[in-house]
Amino acid sequence: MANTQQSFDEHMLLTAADWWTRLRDTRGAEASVEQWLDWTAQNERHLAAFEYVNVFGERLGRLDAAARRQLLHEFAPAAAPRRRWLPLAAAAAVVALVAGTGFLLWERVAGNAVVQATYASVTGQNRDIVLADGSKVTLGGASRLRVRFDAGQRQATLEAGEAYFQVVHDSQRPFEVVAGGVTVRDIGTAFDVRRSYGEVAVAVTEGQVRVAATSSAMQTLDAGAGQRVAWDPAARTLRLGTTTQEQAMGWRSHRLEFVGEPLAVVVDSVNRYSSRPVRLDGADVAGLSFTGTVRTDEIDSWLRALPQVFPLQVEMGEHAVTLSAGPMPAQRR
Amino acid sequence: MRRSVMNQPLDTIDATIEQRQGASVATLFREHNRALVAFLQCRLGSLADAQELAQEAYLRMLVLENSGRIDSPRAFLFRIAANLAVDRLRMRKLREAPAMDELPEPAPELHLAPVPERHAMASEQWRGLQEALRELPPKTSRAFVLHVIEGRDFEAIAQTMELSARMVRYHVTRALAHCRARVEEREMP
Repeated sequence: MANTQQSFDEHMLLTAADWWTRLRDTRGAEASVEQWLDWTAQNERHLAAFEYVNVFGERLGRLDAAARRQLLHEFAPAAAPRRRWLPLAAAAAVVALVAGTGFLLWERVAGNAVVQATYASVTGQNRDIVLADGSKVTLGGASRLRVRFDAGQRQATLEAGEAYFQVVHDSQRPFEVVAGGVTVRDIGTAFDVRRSYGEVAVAVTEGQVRVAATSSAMQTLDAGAGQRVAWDPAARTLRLGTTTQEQAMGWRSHRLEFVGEPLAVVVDSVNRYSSRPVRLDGADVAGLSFTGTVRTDEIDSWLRALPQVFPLQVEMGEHAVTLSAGPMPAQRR
Repeated sequence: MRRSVMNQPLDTIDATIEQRQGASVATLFREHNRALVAFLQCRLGSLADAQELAQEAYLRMLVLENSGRIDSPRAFLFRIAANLAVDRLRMRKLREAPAMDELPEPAPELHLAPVPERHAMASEQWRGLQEALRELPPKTSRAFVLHVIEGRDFEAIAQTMELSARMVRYHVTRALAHCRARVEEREMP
C-alpha cells in the first residue's frame, strides 16, 4: 500500500498531518471526510502521503507501556501523575479475575461509612458470598450483584441471573433487593430472586418479604415462607403463588426446578449453566409451558429428551443449540 | 430506476436490483477501498481493525434495501464506516476497562490507542522520536504526546492546557509532521 521508498516534502507532510488530525477530531467530522476524499482524489501522492503519516500514527499508538510512560513523563509531566495508565498487566489481571472467579472491590467513600461492591459469577458456577453485614448470598451461574451499604440502608441490585439471600436482621438498616421491575424488602429472612427473560421471581423460604413493583408504589405483595411472587413485565403485574424449598433453592445443588413456566424463562436459566448457549427459534416454542427438573450437569441429555414431550426439534451445533418448532411428539412414533 | 422495472415479473426485478446493488458496491470498493481503509486506520489506530471494518461496511451496503436511491453512495459508505468505528472504539473501551466504577485507576477518556505491542519501533527510531520531540516547543510536544500516546481527545487536552481545541489540533499536526520527517531520516541508512 504505502510505498516506503517515497519521501514527501515538508509541505506535503504538514498537509497530510493536518488531514490526519482533522479526521481524528470526530466532532463535526462529517464535512471533513468529504473534503478529505476530494483531496485524496486530486492527486495520487496525496493519499500516499496520508498513509505514510497514518502508519506512523499507528506505530506511536502501539508503543509499549514503558515507552509511553517515558514520553509522558518527559513531555507531559503535569498530566502524568493524575492520569497514569492502568498498567496493562494489572488491567489484564482484573479482567481475568472478573472472568474467572468474579471480583470484589470495596470502596469507602470519603470517610463515610459507604461500602460498595460488585460480585459476578461465570457461566456454570455458583458462588457463595458473605456481605459486610454478615448476610450471606449465593450467586447462581452467570449472575451479577451490586451491593451498596450506608448508615441508613443496605441495598443489593441483582443486575443479572439469580441469587439466594440469607439476610441478617437489622431494624435500623432495612435490606432491599432491586431486580428488574421489583424491589424486595425483607424483615430478617431467606429468599431467592431470579431474573430470566424479563420476568422476576421471588421465592421465600424463611420469614417474610414485601415485594413492590418499582413502577408503582401501589402494587405491593407480602409473601411468607413457601410463597412466591412473580413479576410479569408484559402485564406489569405481581402474581402470588406457592413454592417449595426445592424449587426455590434446588439450583444450589445443581437442580433447576420449574413449575408451569414458559420455555423461554426455563432456557434463560439453563443458559446460565450451559457451555453452549441454547436458542429458541420462534414464539410458539418460547411460549411452551414446562414443568420439571433440569440437572445443570446434564443439560445435554435434557435437551435431547425435549422432543419427546414437546413438538420441537433440537439441533446440536458446535457452538450453540437451537430449539425450533417440529412435529408433535405423538406423530413421531 | 424502480419504475422502469415495474412491469417485469417479480423474480427478475429482485435479480436486477441485486445485480445493480452488487455492481455499484463493487465499483465503490474499487474506487474507494484504499481511502476507506486509510480513513478507518486513522480513526482506530489499527490497520487490521480497519481492514475488517471496511469489509463489514461493504457488506452492509450490499444488504441495504434501495441502495440505488442513495444520493452519494460514497458519503454513505464512509458514514457507515464511521459508525462502525465508533462502535469498535466503544467496545475496545469496555474490553479494556470492565464496566465498574470501582476500578482503582481510571483508564484514559478515549481509547484511540489499541493494545500496545513491544518493538513497535526500533531503538534507533525511538531515539529519533525523542530527539524530534525535544526540538519542538514544549506546548507542541505536550499536546502531541497527550493525544497520540495517551489517547486523549482534543477537547480534553484543550481543557488541561487551557487552549482552544483548534490550537491543540494545530500543535498535534505540527508535531506529527515534524516527527514523521525526522524519524524518516533515521530509517534511511
